[in-house]
Amino acid sequence: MNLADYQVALAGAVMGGGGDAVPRSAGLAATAKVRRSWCEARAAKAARLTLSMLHSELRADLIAGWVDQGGGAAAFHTLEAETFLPFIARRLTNPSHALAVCRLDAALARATAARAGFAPAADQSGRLGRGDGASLVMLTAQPEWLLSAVLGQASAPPLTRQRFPVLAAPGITGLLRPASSGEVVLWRRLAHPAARSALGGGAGIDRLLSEGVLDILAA
Amino acid sequence: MTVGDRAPPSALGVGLSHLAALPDGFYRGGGADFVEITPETLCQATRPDGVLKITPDREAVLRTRQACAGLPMVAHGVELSIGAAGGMNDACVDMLEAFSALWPCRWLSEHLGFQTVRGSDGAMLEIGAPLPMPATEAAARLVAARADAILERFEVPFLLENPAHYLPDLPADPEIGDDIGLMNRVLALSGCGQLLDLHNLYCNAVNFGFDPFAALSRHRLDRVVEIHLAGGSWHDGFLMDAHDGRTPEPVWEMLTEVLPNAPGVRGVVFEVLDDHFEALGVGGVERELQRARDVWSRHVRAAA
Repeated sequence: MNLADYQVALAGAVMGGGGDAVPRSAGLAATAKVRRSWCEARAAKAARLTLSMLHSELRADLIAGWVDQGGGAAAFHTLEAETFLPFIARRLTNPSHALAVCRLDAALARATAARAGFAPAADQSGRLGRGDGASLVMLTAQPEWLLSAVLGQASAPPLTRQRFPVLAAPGITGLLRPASSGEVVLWRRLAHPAARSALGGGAGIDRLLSEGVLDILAA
Repeated sequence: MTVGDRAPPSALGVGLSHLAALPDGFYRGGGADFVEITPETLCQATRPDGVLKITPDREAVLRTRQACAGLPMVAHGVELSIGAAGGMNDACVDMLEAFSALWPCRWLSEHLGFQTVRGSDGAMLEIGAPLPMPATEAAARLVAARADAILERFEVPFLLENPAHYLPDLPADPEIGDDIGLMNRVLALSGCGQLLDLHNLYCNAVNFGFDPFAALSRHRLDRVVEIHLAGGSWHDGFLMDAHDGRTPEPVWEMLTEVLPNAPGVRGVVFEVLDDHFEALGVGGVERELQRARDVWSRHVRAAA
């Protein structure tokens, strides 16, 4: 067997696949167990806020289900979050505090990943659009209430129809802040890029550009 | 280009893997002569257009560099997957270049193994854990060529670390034999050096039932530039390289044995994971470093 085929077979055996190319042994089982524990730890880290909102049984089920289908292997937690959080979101009640926190978790992961290479737009020519790594999340309670629930310091408040918009972006201090109603309107307007002149300046476009909420798109 | 072709790095002494959990000021206290950084822990990854891009987080790098108080730094990567037949992680090599521009290192090191395979759709698949290489000529040639390519790209030595693993039946060519034969063959074919992880070797010796001291004598000790110390623990009948505690006594004995026979060693590093730091404590880390320093100092005096 050539090297590539052997590595695929060994990886498959360690990841729980079948096949006879790699001898079964206690060592192989131990390696598979170590790998699984690492994958579970990575998944837990990638969705830390969301999982903390859930009962321990559901939390364990979600992580196990994710790892069973090959999840948890991404070396960087923001890449793991990109795929694991949508997996969780599909299994949460809509609307719910947990789903709102899941979307917040995803927004923070995107902003975190974008932070390393972030520089505010320098060239002011071109059309305005949403920044890479920026998100608008409609929370189901005041952010500090949800944070208390995440930390286990308080129960989440009853769910109402009221929403609390927050912006996440790589240039925001702490990556997150409440959004004004004008910023929400502008964000929605920029689902499709637009010329700055068409938007007016009311929502503080320069601030949003400096935070990476908005970006100047290449012409 | 080989380790021998370049001016060898100056001796650094006793180092510590970087621990975010250590209190501010620890690295100014003189307990460590240098620090070992895993660059990936100070990076973010994205997939623009589906292609992996790993970017050093400039603020995190500079903050960590400041916390390390000007100590010399060696970079110890974990995501290169240098032995993957489907292709090593080129994004990691690009990242190391960007990282080195922010914080120059005295040498680079990585693990002899692979943690990616190419899937049936051609995409690179992360396995989720590093796996050992078969002890074959094909594996040695693949790794050696990549190690030399890295040496060409960077101006510092590149080292490969011997891994701990739990797989007793790895394929092997008779002329190479085993893990040690594979490392020696890579070293013969390329210019890289070795990061000799004594705890990994000890784990393999315990788990597979061989004498670690006899195994030491089979290594190309003339190519060893750095030595790792660490602690481990038993799980499922295997001694695992968990980096979760103090260095066991036999590993200290191995260090004493190996130093006089490894003239190119420039540093000894104690590794512990952040997750396990609390159990060891600052005092525990200091004691490990002091003991390593005692052995290192005796070696330096004897070699003078």
